[in-house]
Amino acid sequence: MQEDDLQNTLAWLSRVQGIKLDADEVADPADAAARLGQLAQEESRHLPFESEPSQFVKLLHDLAPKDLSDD
Amino acid sequence: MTEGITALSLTEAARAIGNKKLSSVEVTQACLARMERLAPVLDCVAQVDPEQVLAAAAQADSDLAAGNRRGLLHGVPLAHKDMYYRRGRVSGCGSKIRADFVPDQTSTALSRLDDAGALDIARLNMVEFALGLTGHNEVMPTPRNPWNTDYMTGGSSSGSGSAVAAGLVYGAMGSDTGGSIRFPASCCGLVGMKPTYGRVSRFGAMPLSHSLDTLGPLTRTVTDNAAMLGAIAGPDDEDATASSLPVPNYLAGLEDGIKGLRIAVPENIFYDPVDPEVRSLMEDSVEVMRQLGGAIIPVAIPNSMAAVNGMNNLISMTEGAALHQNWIAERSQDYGRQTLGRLTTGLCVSATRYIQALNLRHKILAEFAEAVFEKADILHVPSMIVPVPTLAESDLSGNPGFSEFITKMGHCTRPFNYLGLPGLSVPCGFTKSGLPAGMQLVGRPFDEATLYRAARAYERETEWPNAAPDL
Repeated sequence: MQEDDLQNTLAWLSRVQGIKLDADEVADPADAAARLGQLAQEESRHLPFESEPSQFVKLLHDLAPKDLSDD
Repeated sequence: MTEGITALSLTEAARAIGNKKLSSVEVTQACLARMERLAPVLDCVAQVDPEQVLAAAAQADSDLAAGNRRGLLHGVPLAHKDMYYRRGRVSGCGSKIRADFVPDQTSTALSRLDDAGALDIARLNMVEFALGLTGHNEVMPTPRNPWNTDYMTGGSSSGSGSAVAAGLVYGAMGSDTGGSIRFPASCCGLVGMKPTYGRVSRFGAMPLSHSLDTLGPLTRTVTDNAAMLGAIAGPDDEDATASSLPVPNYLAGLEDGIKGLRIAVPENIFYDPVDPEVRSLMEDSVEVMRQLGGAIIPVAIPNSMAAVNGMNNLISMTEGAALHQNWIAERSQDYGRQTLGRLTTGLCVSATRYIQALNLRHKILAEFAEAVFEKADILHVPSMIVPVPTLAESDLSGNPGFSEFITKMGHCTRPFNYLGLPGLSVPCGFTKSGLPAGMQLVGRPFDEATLYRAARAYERETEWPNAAPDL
């Protein structure tokens, strides 16, 4: 992580999250968060506009063995 | 004699107590004696109160004598990961920060085990706040693997794995957000069930990541595991995420075999980084299942699955950071470096990326289910991609380069937390180092029964359940 990026991240953590940490505590985690965030963004590119987390739980139940149905 | 008692399985011990061939006091004394001898070597017990435990065992015997058998687990000593709350008792969560925390509620899982008659005889050490797959804890004791104390137990249910494998208790509850039941099960030669998301109430268990957390048992046999899950699973008014789907009798049909069962073996993704020694054990276990009548079906895993290890990590770190934010601000020095680093990752994730990772679950689960469960009943994959490392090799404090490897270690476990699917780790042999390895059977949502049936058929055919560490 570039020094400027690191200082920006520290400032963001302080201002937005209200947390002050040392630079050496933040550099690697911030890099990891950026990598994971980029992955989420790329994978989400083709998601339907109407997507929301509750659809996942419904699908779990839809896929359950039919003889467990509590209908 | 006492060593013979602790070598029984959970269900054998329960039967012996129920038939009055052994008393709960005799069984509990045997466990306590073994605990006294081995817990200092294995560092797996956080706290035990022998006097109180023996009083509970005596009560169990009195109840039985009066014709009141509370349930299937009557009088059987268990112990649990130190994150299951019991009213009035410390629950330290493997941390300095909660070392003196006394909850005012009892978790639903423990209440249900109480109702089944089980004894809760000790709190078991764990990874700090359940954040870590190796079992290391920088601020509290790190449990040792009973098969060889130089090796890691796997985590985060490290004490649960160590204590059950060493025969200190007959079963233990763990929790699994990215592999924390299946890893210690695999490393310690145990059966470990990560149930479907929502199958077991999370009420009264320390939260880490509410979208991914699951609770389940570690035991020495498949039957024991099925008995414990049957006791704890089901709807709960205290946890709206606990599913209302009925719980089948997991012990019924357990011995029915797997003739005709369709077993998917992945052609891609899951085996990409697997160590040759582990791969060979997996191939052997697939062959056993083929000989038992299973239909082995190669399946192509959708490419979207390549992202799920990362998505699981993103969600767990972010939800964990939200929970820990105040302590990070005020007591960051009380966290171990690894724990603080992972939570800090969550603090750096933007809310939009976090929600995108959650929104993706439906799409990726739909693709995975179509690819696997339209062709097969269960999926067979490794639990771990490498042989069990030593404690020194897997200590991030001494080996910063191991960090990337830790991420890879969750390659075959984290995906199923993200997809919410049940995963059962089952012992399938030993690597050259003499440490156990586990295969993982993954099923449709809420179909733990089929996983148990398949695992039991495999277990019956192999000698692995009879293997025990020489202690």
